Order: sequence, then C-alpha cells, then structure tokens
Amino acid sequence: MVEETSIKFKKIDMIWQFTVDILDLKYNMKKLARKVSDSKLVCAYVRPHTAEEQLDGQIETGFRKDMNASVKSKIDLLLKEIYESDFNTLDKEYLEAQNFTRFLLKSIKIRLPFNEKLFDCDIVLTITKLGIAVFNFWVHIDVELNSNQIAELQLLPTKEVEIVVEIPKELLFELKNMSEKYLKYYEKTSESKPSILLSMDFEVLIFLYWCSLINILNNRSFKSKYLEDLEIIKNKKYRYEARYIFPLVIAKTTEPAYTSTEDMIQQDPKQLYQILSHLDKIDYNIIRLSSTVDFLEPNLSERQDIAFLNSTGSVLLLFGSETQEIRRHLLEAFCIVEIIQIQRYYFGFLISKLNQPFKKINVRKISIMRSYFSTGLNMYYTKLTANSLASKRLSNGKRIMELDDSYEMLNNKIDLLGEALQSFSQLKTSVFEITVAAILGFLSVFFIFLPSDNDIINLIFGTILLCIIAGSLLGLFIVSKFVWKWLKSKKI
Amino acid sequence: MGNEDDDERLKRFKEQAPKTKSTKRDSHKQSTADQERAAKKAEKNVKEVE
Repeated sequence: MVEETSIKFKKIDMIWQFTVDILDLKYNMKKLARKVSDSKLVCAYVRPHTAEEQLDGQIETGFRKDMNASVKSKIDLLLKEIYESDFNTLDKEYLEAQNFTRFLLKSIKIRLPFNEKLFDCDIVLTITKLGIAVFNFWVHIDVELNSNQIAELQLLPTKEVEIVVEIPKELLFELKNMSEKYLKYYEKTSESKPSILLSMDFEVLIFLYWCSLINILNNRSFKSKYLEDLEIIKNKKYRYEARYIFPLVIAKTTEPAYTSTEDMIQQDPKQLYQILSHLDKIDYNIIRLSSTVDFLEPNLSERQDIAFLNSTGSVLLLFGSETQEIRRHLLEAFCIVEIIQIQRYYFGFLISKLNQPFKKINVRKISIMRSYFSTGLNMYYTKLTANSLASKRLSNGKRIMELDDSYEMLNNKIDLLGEALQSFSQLKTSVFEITVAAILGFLSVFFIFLPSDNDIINLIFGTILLCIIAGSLLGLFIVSKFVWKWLKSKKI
Repeated sequence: MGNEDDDERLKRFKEQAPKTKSTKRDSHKQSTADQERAAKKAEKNVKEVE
C-alpha cells in the first residue's frame, strides 16, 4: 500500500451555504433592498441594475454609515469584489433582470469544536426573486487541519454539536420582540459591549437569522414571549420547511506547498477524496486509489494552480502556493455554487408540493404551480453565465445534483396532474348539467299542472318551489364537493 | 412484565433511530429543519458563555 504524505491545511476558508424559504416571491428588488437594509444587521448591499439604471447612472449600493473606518474599508472591498465577480461570471441579461440582491451582514465570530479560538465569520445573504434566501457563513480558519478534520467539519451544521458564537447586538435587537430571553440578552449589550457570547448548535444559529429576516420582511410584525409561540412557527406558515446545507472548502495554504494543484491531485488523491466525500473518522490510506479517479475528474479549472472539484456533498477549491487574487477566483466559484443551490431548493420545494395526496390538489393549485414553475425557469433555463468556465461549472453541478432529472419530473408531473384534474372537471360538469336539466324539467312539468286557479296560492307554491330548487342546487353543490373529494381519493 | 419489555424496546429503538435531522454523509441532502424544534432549542438550549 502506497502511503500519502499527510497534508497540513494551514489556511482554510469554509463557506456553508444555508438555503431557506422566505415565504413568498419577491418581485421588486429595489424595494426589498431598502426594506432589508433598514436593519442595522445589514452593513451594505449590492444588487444588479437594469439597463435603464445603468444608462442613467443610477447605480445603487447601500452602505451603513455608522461603522468604524476599518470595518468600512473591509466591507467596501468585499462589496466591490462581489459586484465584480457577479459581473464577470453572470450573463448581462440575467443580471439586468435583477433576480437577486446581496447583503453583507454584520460579521460574527465562531468557536468551532476542534479549537478554542474564535474565528472571524463573514455573512453574505442573497435574496432571490423566487422567495429563497441563502445565508453564506464564511469562516476564515487559520489553524492547522488535516483532511479528516475538514471532512468532519463540513458536516458540523447537520450535527447537534455545540458551538460558541459571538452574537452582535443588532441580531439581538431583531429578536427582542419575539422572545423575552433574547430581550434580556439585548439589554446586556451596550456601546462598550456590542456582542454577547452564546453557546448553541448550528441549527439554532440559522434559525435565529432566518427568524430575524422573516420578521424584517414582514415589517417587524411578529411579537411573542417565546420563539416557539410565533404564529409563523405554530401555524407552519412557510412554504417549505426544509433547508439545504452545502459546504465549500477553500484550501489556500498547505504544507507541503504545491505550486501546481495538478501535482497535489496526482500525489495525494486520497486525502482530497476524503474531503470531498466526507469520509471522516477513517484513515485516508485505506481508501481505494481507483475509487478516487472518478471523483477527482473533471477538474473544472483553466489554470494549473487552481483546482475546482465538485462532489454531491461539497465543492473543494484548491489554490497553488503562488496564486494571486485568490478572493476573485473564490467568489466566481461561489457565485455558481450558490445558483445551483437555489435551483435545487426551488425544485425541491415544487416537488414537495406535487407529492401531496391527489385529493389535496385542485385546478387552482396546479395553475399556481405552473406560474411558480415558469418563474423558476428564469433562474434555470435561461443563459446564466458570462464565460465558458462558469458555464461548464454550472452544467456539471446540475448534472451531479440531478437537477435536469428534477426538472423533467416536475414538468411531466404538472402536466399529468393537470390532465387528471381536467378529466375530473369534465365529469363533474356533465353530471351537474344533467342534474340541473332534470330539476328545470321537473319545474316546467309542475307549472303545466299548477294546483289551483287562485293566483295567490300559485304565487306561494311558485315561491316555495323556487326555494326548493335553489336549496337543491346549493345542496348539490355542497354534496358534490365531498363526493369529488371522495372520488379523487379512490384507487383505480 | 411482557409489556414492560416492549416499552423498554420501543424506548431504546426511539433513542437509537436516526434523527429527523440529517446526519448523512452527503450534507447536500435535504435536512428537515423542523422550525418548531429549532425554536424550542433556541429558547431552552442557548446559554450565555462567560
């Protein structure tokens, strides 16, 4: 057995993408940007502009002014890089359609289970027209890790493992009207103590951000003593309960150092495989060399010193020891991975609706589904990318995530359900027509043999008869609703 | 007695059964975020660290 030299990953950026539902479609990005950035949790935002806005020179980016100079310059730089990478990676028309807005939230610090240090964590929030938001938790890890630890770390948000988070007072401010507990935490903060250290697991951290965002989007109308008593939680008012988690691992510095990432892939494939496949708690040397071959191909990069490897569970971006402009390359990859996650989430949401029992689906729901589906295509079927490398990464990601299959399945299922419902409606209409004809026929026969020559008596009889007919029609309508529901639930 | 054994077995099974929250290797797979559970945890499990 040929043993690999153990790689020490010395500088890692870990980006966890959490995709969540924000209740409904968002059409006006301009309004949305202003509403969300009203919160002090948002440091800055940037959104793509329409062709008219660009022509008129109305480029709008929002900056919070009450920040110290060092934070301001860091935010300015990141915002500029994000704006540029979107511009370089995404198609012009797609950008001009204003499908999304990005917000830089107040950064936090996180203590991860393997080290006592608090790591800096930037939070980039992307809100899309589809009513889907992605919280990107971007942690900068500058301690030494091996492939086994990285494999384990990626799955941290799926496990009930305690982490310590320095929660900023701006987040506590958003939470204070929804929970007395967080009101107390908020009251403990001040100008000199702008954050508070709390222990929780990742699921809770995401929930706190999700909850705050939903509240901001709904004009801060949520009020409650406890978070679990919020109307949205109690009555499950969200469209899709699931959230998707996807990690991006960015390896910037390693020991031994490699100038070419090609060398790294050839010399130490088992460790890279371990990261990409999340094979934690095993010795990487026992991994079969032949199984790594398919996994480390294709390497979607046009340069020798950068590698972009994609698996079903994560993306691994490797940089050579002399690579310049790492952040630019990183953000260009990030942007593509995020689009794939949004598409995956949206299809998952639509599939969950279509998997409901047939008796719960009606023509109205199918029409809404069709309009949702067509809106979703704006972020799926159109030309999205601005260069061939981004295009390759996008189509490879779609293939790995089986998004094309999901699309086919959705398309076929909506058609089939629509047709099935149409058959039911036709049957319903014909039965209804026959019944109405029978009632009206009975009415005409009755009038021929009117019981009396007295007009008043006839009027009374006529009125009673009309009431009986109206009652019968109403009754028929109510009964038919139950009958059709019952019929739809029957097996063939 | 027999019933008690069954209860114990059921209890043990519940403890050992995979949780709703995904712990699968490929984390891209849908993890059902039971918001109610997360809300309860946010109220009960979160503690201040000195």
